[in-house]
Amino acid sequence: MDKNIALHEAVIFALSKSKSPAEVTLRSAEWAVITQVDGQKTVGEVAEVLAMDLDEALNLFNELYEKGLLELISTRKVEEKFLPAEFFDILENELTRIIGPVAPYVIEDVLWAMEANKDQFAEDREAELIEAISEEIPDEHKKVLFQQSMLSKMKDMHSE
Amino acid sequence: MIEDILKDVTEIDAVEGVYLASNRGEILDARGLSFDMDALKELSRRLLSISAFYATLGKKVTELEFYWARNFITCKVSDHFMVVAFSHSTQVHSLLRITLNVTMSKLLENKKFNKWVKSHLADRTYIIKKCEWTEAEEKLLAKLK
Repeated sequence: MDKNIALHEAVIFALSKSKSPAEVTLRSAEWAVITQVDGQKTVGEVAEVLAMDLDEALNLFNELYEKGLLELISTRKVEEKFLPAEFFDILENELTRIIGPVAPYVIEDVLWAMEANKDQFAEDREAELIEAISEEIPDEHKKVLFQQSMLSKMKDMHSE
Repeated sequence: MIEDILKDVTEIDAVEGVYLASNRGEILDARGLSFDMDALKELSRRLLSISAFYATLGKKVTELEFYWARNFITCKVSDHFMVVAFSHSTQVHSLLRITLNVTMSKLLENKKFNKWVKSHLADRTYIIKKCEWTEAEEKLLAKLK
């Protein structure tokens, strides 16, 4: 891959006009990617369709590009949105209500495990955070209560 | 009654649909799915088979996730019924799991629903079709032992 192009999930490829996949020997995973490349789907979308890990998909796309089978169409990256500070206040309040004063420490531990922080927490990882925190609640009934409460809060926040 | 409870699942983006099945494999309710009843029954039978196999090993299965017919399938299993959701994206899986957990809890707490499911299970006219493991299934199961 060209050093000036950073491969990520939002990159779009099309099949090369100058070289055909039939000219090279490909592994089955590479063929699977080739069948999905249409000049419109992003790398991330192809990975989803093929039920493939994103890292694996990125490697495959890189290999196919190096073999000259793919042409780059777009490298546009969607601007990342972050959760507001208010969300973490709500999260801490709800979790404290369920498990008591250890709540802030549980949240910090989970954020550390997710390699994330409150200041710049990606909005699309919101549910992942709730799920990870839920797993720290040993009581099944309390876990469901927390999840129910946070689902309701998330709905309210997104509808505003 | 069930429609309101399942609404939270069907409203998630990228979720195609959801269905409820009794642990006899009968479809109790289905929302938003393009598959016919026979296909869903066959899927339910497979899910019950997996659950039953783990039960013979003394392990209880409460969740199942896999890829089938170009859909990501997420299933929650209880003692008497299961909730099975179909989605097109793994990005919604955390939200879907949380929602299914809450949905399962609401269903378990609903007395009318539980009475209905238990009467369904007691009805001897519904029988799971006896079958044998295919060669591929036997090979997979041998790895789990």
